[in-house]
Amino acid sequence: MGQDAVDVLIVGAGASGAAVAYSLADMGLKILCLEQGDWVDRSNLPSTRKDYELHRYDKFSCDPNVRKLPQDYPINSENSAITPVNYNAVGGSTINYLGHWPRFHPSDFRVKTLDGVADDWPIDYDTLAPYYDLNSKIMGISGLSGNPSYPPYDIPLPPIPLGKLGKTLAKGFNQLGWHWWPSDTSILSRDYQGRNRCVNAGTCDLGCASGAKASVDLTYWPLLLEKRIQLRTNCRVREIMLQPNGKAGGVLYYDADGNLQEQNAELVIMACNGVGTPRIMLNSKSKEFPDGIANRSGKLGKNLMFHPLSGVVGRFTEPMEGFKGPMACSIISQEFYETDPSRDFVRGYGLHGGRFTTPMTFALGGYGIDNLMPWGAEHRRQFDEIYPYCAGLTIVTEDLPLESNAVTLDPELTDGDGIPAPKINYQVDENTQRMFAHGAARAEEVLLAAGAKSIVASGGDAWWRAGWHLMGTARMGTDPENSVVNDWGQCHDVKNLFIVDGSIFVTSAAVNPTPTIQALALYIGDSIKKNRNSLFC
Amino acid sequence: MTSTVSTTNLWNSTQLALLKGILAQLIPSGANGTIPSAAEFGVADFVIQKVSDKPDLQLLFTQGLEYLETLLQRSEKTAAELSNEEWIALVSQLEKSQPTFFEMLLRTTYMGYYSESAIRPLFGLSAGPTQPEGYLVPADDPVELDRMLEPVRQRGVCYREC
Repeated sequence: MGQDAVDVLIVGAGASGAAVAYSLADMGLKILCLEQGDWVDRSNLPSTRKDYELHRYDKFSCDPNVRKLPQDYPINSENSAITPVNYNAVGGSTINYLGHWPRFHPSDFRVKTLDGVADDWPIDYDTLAPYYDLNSKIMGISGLSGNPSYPPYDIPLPPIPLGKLGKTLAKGFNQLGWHWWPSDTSILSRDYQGRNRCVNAGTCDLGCASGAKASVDLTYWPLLLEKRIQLRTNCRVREIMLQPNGKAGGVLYYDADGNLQEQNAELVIMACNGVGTPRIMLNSKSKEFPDGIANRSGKLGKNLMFHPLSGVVGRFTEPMEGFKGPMACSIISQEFYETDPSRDFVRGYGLHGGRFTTPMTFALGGYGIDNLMPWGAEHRRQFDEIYPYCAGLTIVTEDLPLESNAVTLDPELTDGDGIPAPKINYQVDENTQRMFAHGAARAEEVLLAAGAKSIVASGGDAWWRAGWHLMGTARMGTDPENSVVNDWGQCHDVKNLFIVDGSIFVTSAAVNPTPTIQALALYIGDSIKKNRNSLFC
Repeated sequence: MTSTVSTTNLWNSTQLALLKGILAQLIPSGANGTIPSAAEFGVADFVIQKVSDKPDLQLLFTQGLEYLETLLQRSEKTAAELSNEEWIALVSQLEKSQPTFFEMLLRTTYMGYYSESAIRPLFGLSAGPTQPEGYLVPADDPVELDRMLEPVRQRGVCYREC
């Protein structure tokens, strides 16, 4: 028991933990990051093996309940319409994410004022804009400036190729007079800062052996290690300790050998994602906080948001080469992103034109979907006459916060160290269902306008194994009665405890969250620097 | 590719013949013979390996194959004597009566078949790993991209100022 105290302890070495560490690195503080996983061996990633697709359903599954690696914790999703996915390693879920990189819109921070739903954020787009820009340079973002669905911003690298599939979809949007734009991606279109450009392998989820996809073990962590940030791997945090003075004193964690250790710190920053962070905080009970540390509001774990996903697939007359290129990125349409009072739902959704998929995943129902394709003659027909000719659009919906959608602690299920597992209660709300219906109809129009001869799949339930975006479970706000952290990530109830991951999102927007998570982490790091005198006195 | 079902203590020769016969139905060969069936591709070996690794699957698969054996006995034919139509009826009966086993068999069959590197080129993919070679996708001509985006630009800003 007892390690040398540090000034700043960061829990989690993923997207947000690395970004906040970068921001604090020049303060002259002793900074330690604890990570429950280890470094990923890039020489042995599934994408370098002949049987690469099998790994998607085994030890490199995005689903920890399938992977079951020692560093993973199980998640009880029996009462959820979507199961969370992640990766536990240095780099966190940037190891297996798909690298689509759209920012929030300015309106995403003002949903209550503009549309009368949920709550406004206590910060706005302009606050985060410089941090989006800084993060883009560090991660190496590809894209095309000038997207009319955003205020102007610069992008370091040119866009990745649209490919045949993307160009085909773009024609459909142009036919209808609807917005589309080349995707911003955290995937290199050119060699950049010692990393190689994308080779269009099409298996971004299986780890990017070429290093073109910006996982933070490749981007931030080399910089952080140069700046002498300490990183301790295979350390699983059980709980945050509370001192008699009401401050966080550090954490208790299990080391690589399963021994319980105590790490003291002046300041604790949680960066474990929208499920992992509330899990640890709910497990940090004391007399002062019987329902979890910094949870006087009762909001900890509530308002879980995912971005429910669904899709539409069309069959074209020529092969679409859908297995080539970054999996989730080619073009994005935000024609239906902003609220339109004439529609039967509030807020909006994006239509994302990624690539298609590899044969095994097609046979098993699609990425994130468990729905085996037919056997026999119909199987033969679908592979010979449909698979090569497919292109699709993914409907990415804004997920409004509901208190009933929540992370709690499972009373029985635990991880390998006996720490309670998270339990998810989550249902897709009616507003989202209406977006799905609207989006499926619009996507069909696009595909047919693009030249599809038939629609082979359309809409349906939210994809199951697709809870990539974990948000809202320790929301930001100015009112301590209605939020967990203030407008710079500081817990209302414990002043030296911060949260920098997707937990603090007030609303979800309808875009992939990692750029915003990292911009927030950089912004919070800057805010800590500005307020350091009051924090450490 | 010819199947070379491994010697196994899990199942008898009739059950192995039934497994191979069913695999041929789950993923049949292409009409012109260029695409082999799951049986011809040796997927039985993959199934046996997967089941051998997991005791819980052994019971499920053994019970499923015993059920099939019972159906075969009722037909008073050997596996080799069944017509294609009779095989389809047999698989359909299995799907209806033993859904858990059937789904696991189908899933394992798809995984075994499509993990064979030789199958991927038939659909345009490379046989080997996706990294480091990847695929060639030419960079877009900036002029052409500008032309494609011109209508989008012409419609102007489409976000809400706030």
